[in-house]
Amino acid sequence: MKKVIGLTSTKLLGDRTLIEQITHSEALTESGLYHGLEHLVERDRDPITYERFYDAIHSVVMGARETSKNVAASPGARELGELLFALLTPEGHAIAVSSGLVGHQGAFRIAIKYMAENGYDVNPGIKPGDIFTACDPATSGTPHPGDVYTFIPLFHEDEFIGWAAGMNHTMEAGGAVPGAWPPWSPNTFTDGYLLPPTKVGENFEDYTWLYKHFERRTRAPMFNILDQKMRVAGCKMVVDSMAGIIEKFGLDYVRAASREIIEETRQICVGNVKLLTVPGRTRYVSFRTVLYKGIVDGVWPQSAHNWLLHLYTETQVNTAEGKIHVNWDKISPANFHAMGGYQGILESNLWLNVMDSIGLGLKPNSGMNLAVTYDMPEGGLFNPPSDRYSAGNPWASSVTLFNGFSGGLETSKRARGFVEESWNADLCWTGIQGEITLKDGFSFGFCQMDLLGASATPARPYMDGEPLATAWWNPASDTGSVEEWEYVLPGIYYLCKNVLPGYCGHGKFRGGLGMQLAFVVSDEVKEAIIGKIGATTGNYFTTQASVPGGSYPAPTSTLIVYRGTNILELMAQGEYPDGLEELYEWVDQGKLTHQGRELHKEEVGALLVRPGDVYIVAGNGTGGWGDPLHRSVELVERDVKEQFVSAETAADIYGVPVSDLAGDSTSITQAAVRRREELRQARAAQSVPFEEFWREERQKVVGNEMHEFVADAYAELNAFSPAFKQEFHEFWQLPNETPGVGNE
Amino acid sequence: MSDRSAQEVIRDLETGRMSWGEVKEILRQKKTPSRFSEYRETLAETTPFGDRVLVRVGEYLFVVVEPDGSHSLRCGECEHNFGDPRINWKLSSRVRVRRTLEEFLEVYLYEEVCPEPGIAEIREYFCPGCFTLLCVECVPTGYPPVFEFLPDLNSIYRDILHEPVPSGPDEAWTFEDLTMSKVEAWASNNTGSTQGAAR
Amino acid sequence: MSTSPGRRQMILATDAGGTMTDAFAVREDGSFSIGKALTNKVDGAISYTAGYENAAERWGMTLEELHAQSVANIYAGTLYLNTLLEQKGRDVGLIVTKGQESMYIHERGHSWLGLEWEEVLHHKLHHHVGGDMFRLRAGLVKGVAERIASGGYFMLAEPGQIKVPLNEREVRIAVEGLLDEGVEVIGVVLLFSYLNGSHEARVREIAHEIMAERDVEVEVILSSEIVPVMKEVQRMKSVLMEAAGGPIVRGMLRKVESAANARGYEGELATMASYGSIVNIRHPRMYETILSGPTGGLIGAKDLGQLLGERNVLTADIGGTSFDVGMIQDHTISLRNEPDFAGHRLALQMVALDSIGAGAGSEVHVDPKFKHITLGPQSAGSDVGRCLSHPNVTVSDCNVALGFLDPDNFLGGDVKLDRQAAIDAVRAEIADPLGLSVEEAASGVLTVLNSYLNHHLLTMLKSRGATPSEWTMFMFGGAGPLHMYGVDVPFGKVYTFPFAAAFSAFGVACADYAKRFNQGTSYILPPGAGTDAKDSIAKAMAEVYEMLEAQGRTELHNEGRLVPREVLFGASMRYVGVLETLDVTFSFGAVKSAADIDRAIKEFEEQYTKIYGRGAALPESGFFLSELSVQVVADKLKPTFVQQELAGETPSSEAVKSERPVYFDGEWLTATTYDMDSLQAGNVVRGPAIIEHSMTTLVVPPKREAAFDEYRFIEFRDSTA
Repeated sequence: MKKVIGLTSTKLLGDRTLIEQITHSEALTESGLYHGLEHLVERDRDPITYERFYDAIHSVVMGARETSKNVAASPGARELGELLFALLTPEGHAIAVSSGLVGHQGAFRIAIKYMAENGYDVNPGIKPGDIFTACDPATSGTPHPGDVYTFIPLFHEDEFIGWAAGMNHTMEAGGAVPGAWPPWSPNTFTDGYLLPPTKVGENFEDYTWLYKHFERRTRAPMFNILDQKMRVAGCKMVVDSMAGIIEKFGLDYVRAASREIIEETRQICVGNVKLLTVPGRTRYVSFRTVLYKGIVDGVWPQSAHNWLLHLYTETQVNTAEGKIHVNWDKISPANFHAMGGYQGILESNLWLNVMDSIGLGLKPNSGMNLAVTYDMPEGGLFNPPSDRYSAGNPWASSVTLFNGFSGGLETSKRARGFVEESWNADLCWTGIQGEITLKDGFSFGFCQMDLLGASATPARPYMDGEPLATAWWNPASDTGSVEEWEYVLPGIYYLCKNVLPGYCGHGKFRGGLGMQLAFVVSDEVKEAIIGKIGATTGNYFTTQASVPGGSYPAPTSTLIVYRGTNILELMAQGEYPDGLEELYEWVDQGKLTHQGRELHKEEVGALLVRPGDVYIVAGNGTGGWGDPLHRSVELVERDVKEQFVSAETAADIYGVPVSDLAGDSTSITQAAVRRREELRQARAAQSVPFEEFWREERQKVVGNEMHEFVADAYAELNAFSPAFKQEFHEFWQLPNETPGVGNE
Repeated sequence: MSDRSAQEVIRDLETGRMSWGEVKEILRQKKTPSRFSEYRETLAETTPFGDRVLVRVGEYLFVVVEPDGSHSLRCGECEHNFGDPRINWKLSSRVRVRRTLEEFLEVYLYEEVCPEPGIAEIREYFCPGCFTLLCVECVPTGYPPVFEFLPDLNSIYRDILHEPVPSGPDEAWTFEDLTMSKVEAWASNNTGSTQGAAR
Repeated sequence: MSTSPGRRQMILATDAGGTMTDAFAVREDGSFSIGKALTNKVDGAISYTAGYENAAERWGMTLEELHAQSVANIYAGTLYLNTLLEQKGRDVGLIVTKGQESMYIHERGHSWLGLEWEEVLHHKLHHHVGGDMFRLRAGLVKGVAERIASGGYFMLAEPGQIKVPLNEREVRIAVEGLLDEGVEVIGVVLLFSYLNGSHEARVREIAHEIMAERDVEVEVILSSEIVPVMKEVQRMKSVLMEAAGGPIVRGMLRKVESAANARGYEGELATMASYGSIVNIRHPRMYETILSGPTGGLIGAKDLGQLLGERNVLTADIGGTSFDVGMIQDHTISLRNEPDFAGHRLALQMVALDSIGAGAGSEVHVDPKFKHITLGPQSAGSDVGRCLSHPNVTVSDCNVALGFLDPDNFLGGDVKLDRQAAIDAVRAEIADPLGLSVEEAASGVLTVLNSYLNHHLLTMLKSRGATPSEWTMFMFGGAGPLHMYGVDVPFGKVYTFPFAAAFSAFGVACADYAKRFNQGTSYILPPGAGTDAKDSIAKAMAEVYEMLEAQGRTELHNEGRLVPREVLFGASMRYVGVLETLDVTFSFGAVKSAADIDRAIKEFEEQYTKIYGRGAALPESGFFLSELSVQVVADKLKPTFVQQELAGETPSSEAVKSERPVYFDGEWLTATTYDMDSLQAGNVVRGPAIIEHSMTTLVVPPKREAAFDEYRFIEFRDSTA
């Protein structure tokens, strides 16, 4: 029998407890250098061995991912690759990460620190083969309950040397409304089944109670159990493989080189800032509406409110020192809705957003999180005043918020001349989730990740965006296959999964077209609950109020429901519409009958749909770059030919009247010149000098002639953010006591 | 691409004249510190400003060094002068505001994916000289215009170009946001001149 | 028995790459001759002939003599890929399920295929290849209303049940539209057609009616016939590959065939299927031959593994621009069922080869600030490096600088290399920036290449939960022997071969004639299913197996009256809910009864837990059989290897060429150089030594040795002295 060994408060890395070790490391990192490393001794002594060591640990985490994901049940993990494995230092800093949901590596340390602060090394103890799992955003860094983390400690003989970590996006979180991103969740108690970091197994085997909890407290237990098995399998592979690596390189080397790899990554980020940016200040903003009034009033009076979220990001670029600082001092305050979150969502997003810019050409790990500093004010949307606040759906609001940060980097890179590395950063995602009830009463929750797996790429200064081509949160983007999804979500049929013509921000280069997914609830099921969430949702244009390229931003996403239609009869006769256009025609013709239509631009937590109901989700279009009147006539012609935009759009937005002409390119070019001149004159006629606009708009502000919704938002912001209040008052030249603008 | 100069490569890229294969090659190339000067040389050819162009702050907006050594923001299409780069250029532009669904639907295809009239307005900022569309904002009524990019000219000279700020009025240039000075001027001008910056 | 080549039976195996065509002639006893010619992309017959003229010469034979003696002639290569990359395929029209028309545009999000992981993180490199390769556009893709149900995991509907009847009016409009566009071929890809092909079949009937009316003839290709498996986008890609390239490639192959027949070869020409068997060029699913050349290496390795009694073999084919790593487990070549190819993800059984973009000719790049050495992706190709005519320093320069490569013996001395140029290049481009000596820098570069190799060997093993010591490593390719000392994965054994440089072509000669079929199914076995349930599934499976076996036998008969030697039956199985399937080949043959179902499940669970551990098993959720597979294998003459008399360990003096200084682990040593062809079975060459062959160089460091076994295969091991 192998002797039982593990951590005790008197033995860890010399004689420090886990918390002492973390404090020690944090103190060293105060110097601005990771772990206080002034020199990368091992790398400089022998760069070759150093690279070999990194290759070795990297292949360990990659191998763990490739194998274990095959155990996964969630289409998210298996089909879309939404999982991650990492090797961590004792403090939880990622040294090497696999491909997949790479952002999360920044958040792992939060769970480790929580365990340390609460003396887990004494009780329940941390021993080889112990399994710790966590999905509580307030304590473990997981951005939302749908992201589940698992940790297994790494020992060499009787010495604790780090962690194997695995995470994936699960199918169902067990919240007040079904799915993994509950958008209707007033507080932490409605977010779902939340595990603070918890010892859920030993000797690499889960305790039975964990599975029973999944069965009782989530709506997709089988998926969640398999995902847990997957995370454990992957972590075990990392633990087993590390033994060989330690043997080969020696324990001291492994420890030293691991620290250096993290510091080296920080240094490369700093170097990239110096190389890629122009110094200065960028500001980008976007808005979201959160509508709870009339939905939750009865049960959650604190949430009987509609909010307008101010997702405002100021990015300060210090090229000389290679520093980037993000200032969120004008963000909306935290409130009792699901759009807020805790530190984990910020750390995850940061990494995702630097990866493609100042993160180029480095070894992905926690060093990147040290390269960017930020201020999220106390009480701000992602720094709530207590741990009672919901973190149900922060991916929706935070991806939007961070597009502002990314937009700043893109602007700065373009100014420096790195045209190829610049685009209109407004990536987005749209999730569908819910619960299907079969005729026998059996029900199961789900996430439909078609439009989470990939977004359209935005327009660049030199080319159009493309549909479903990338996703920051999941670099190997993949939406899955219709045939797979229909296996997982039986009884609900796709009527279409197509690009939606004209559904993008128009410009000299246009955004990537968004998608339209249409579904019909068949009579094979009793009923279903559906919800729709995402970064593009809300009553504003997606993700950025203004875009770096100076063109039209992407349209928002939407959910349209037709109740009690005759679609099942039509299908039986071999007919169904192929998307919005035809569906609208059929409705007008009375060919498709219905008993009611609902339109949901904002997020929806739970709609009951029954056999014969049709619902359409449109989302994931992106914004353009440059003035549409500057688009090449050839590209406009191609778009019309490919049915990417209509002839009307070509004539009225791009000023290329293709439809009027017999395709003779010279005559089209001449016609375009004329049409574009008309449109410019219209611009002249319909626009006013800004000062004039200022005077009119100012009257509205002073006289509080604004939608109540908007007035409330200003009042809230003026009360919460001194910086916002100052700018707002100065810009409109308001006396403090102006009504409706939140004078305390 | 080795047969082409860096400037030619960047120009072809920006004019969308490149095959994906070439773009891919550029994306894979190692980034070099010389890019900023190469880019300025490209802009010297492709903008009306010649070597007076300092930095590009937007698709159509450039910080230009004036003959007297001062810096101003100009339109790359028509050379219209927006004035001091430290004042949000939007205050010197012409603006068309879309407030109704009908107006939204002129630039977006489906009402289902448009903002909510009443709580959001779409502002289109044009160059007063050539009416090129410079920026579109979708914000609530009464929201101050976003000042997207305020470059630190001192640092550009000192840390990227490694040369002194040109002699003249901007020798003692300070990195600050002067937008409010313009607003204050309007406030004090009660005649309500609507000429603004549209000269 | 006679030793005159005249009576020998011979196999001709051609590997026609993008630039060079390898012509490999091998006799029964394994003796071989290699000819090379520049690939003629317009007419492969020309490079074919030139190649074998060259090979025949080496044996002092004429081209006709060579062909007269050959009993099999296999032509593999990259012409399929080239045809499509150059967009020379036929004009394709596509008919899909209504509502799925933009599959070819969005590709389900696969915009990053073919990028290395680091590049996948660089989002600006994401780009859809879309329909360019097939010249597709909106006007060429038509949707028709129809739906087939899968029933899903809960069997809510009978799998294959028709949910929406085919809208024949829309089919007519679609076909008319495509014919108006003047397409040369129509591909049909309908959702779940692998469960019920009747709608696709009906589309073809209607299309033929319309063509008859219009008096035109256009081929109609059905996904349910040529690739009846799950996942619509991958299925569409396979259909597009076949539609655009199939007949054109077959036409090119027929040219080669007639050239061979004209030279006296009496049989029909064969080519390689991506799943590693030989198929006649009349094979009805030409897209299955899309990756034919590189598969050869794995097949050769499999046969040699059998000969040596090595069950588990990892292969590394190290060339100038890349190295390909492959896997043979329990004498079985690992296959992938969704391989990526030229930016497309196909539904196709393809040998699992990982290609890494670094090789002997890769350029070396150095980041002085962070002391990084990176290799490739650019490569010098035939320009070798600064030591010849390439502008940038390469791995080869390092090999020359350190004495591993003899500048005067490159390609048997045909090319003279400039050693000083190599040394200067290494100093200027690598050593000085890194603050290292030339020797340290050059060996550093080689270590980096080796660690790439080890990294990928390890990842591949780990992703199968395999332990290195239970595996044998085969290294080949022109630069394989040169780098095999760098392997530091603790394999059981490491081998290379005298014919390493033409190993792929050799492997092609080793392949079997075989037909492989995969049929998508939807058999769900609920937990605790009774005998009745099992019986009904067993019956259904038996029918499919019978049908596919019959089809295989017929095809083999039609393609040269071949008689099957064995038929293998298998299935892709998974636990219900788990999405990853495991491909199991049953030890007991076809499933016919409830008892067979239990055996099948037992074999599946054994393999599953072997890979993922007991904890991962989930019998309580039931089993899902998503595909059935049948392989019908026929015999073919193969090169055999005659065991030779063992000479003594010490090589004969004529095998010794000379000696030269070589830089091994930090010091210059004097290495003896040998001529590989003069080394005999039984000889053991101890390091420091260099063994040279006109097409490759084997490096033996101190404390290591190269032992020639009774087949003259070379085992590379720690010195036994």
